Amino acid sequence: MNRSPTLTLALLIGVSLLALGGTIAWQQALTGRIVEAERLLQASTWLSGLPYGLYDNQPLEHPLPGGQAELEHSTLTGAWQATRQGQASAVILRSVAAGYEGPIHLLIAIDASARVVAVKTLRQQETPGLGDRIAGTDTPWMSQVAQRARLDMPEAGWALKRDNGQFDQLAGASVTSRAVIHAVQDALRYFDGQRGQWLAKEAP
Amino acid sequence: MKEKGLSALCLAPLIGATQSLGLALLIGLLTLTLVSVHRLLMTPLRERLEGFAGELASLILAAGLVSCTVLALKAWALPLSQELGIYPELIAVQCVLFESLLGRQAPWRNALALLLGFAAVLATLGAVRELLATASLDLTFSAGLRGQHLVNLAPGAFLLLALGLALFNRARSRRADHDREGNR
Repeated sequence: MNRSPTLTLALLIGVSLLALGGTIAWQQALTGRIVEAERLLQASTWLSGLPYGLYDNQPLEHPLPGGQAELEHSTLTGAWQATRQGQASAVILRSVAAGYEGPIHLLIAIDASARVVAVKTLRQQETPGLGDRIAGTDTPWMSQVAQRARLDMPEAGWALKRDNGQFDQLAGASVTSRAVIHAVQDALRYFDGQRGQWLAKEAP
Repeated sequence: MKEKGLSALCLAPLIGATQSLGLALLIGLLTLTLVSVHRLLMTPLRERLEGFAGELASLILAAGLVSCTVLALKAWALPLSQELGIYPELIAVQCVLFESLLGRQAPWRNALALLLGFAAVLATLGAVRELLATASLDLTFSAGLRGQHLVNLAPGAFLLLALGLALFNRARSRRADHDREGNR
């Protein structure tokens, strides 16, 4: 039986409009939710290494001025304020350093007494098995760097032990280790310079 | 089961989305619901649209359905949708294949049996891969922390699938032997 071509065309156009219109309407309705979910996911992955009682706000929603800066061995791309009960408790810094194979994106958390709370790798392309152990959760080296980093350490101390400094290196990854150590040094020094402005500012 | 019915099942999710039992069950569930809804929506159109127009309509419906599902997954379960990667989108291909191969002749029961069998194969493969990779079974979805065990990667999945097929064929041929023995 021959179907009339106009009926076929009409049905096709009807189906297309329904499918296309429905999908676009659904997308419009869901955009807000998706953006919110992506922000939450980013916050939870970035901030997942930080100790529990450090803050009680959403730090990534409180950016600080002066968070973009070109430092000696690295580049700061953002600074955020973490508060606890309205008082600034820590500053979260995002830093990009030049690693062995490419840029390393680090998250450095410094608390109000200029102690490095955590150093975490957000993105890296280092040698698998050697340099990319900075991104693993089972390497204690990153937390060792955080513990040993002190503001009053002399310039000569910010180097690997084989360069007469105070930091161990990651086995087989001296360039990566130096990059991370220098990024933490830059971040700590910059924090010291901005401390008055960053810690005095209360959460809006 | 007709031979052409079998070709309506795609290989890609079997290899790529079965790193863990939870992931495999999720893909199986999504396939089941999406193909069923697609068939449901195509039923009024099947008699009125023939040939190319019918296939075009099924394609448009499949694309719309899958897009809406992916958006919903992203909105309500973003980490889950990132684990699943591109495999929900591939279900659109399965919808269209089902429609073109099993659309007119096959009744609902056949299609449902085929889909449930597919989900069972997915679940089995997922369970075996998870057991071999981590020696434990749980319903979490994180497949990224397992490291580079062979069964986690595509070649391992192909090997397991081949083993499964070999066992299945052996079981079928053995049944035939018994019949012949009885007739001698």
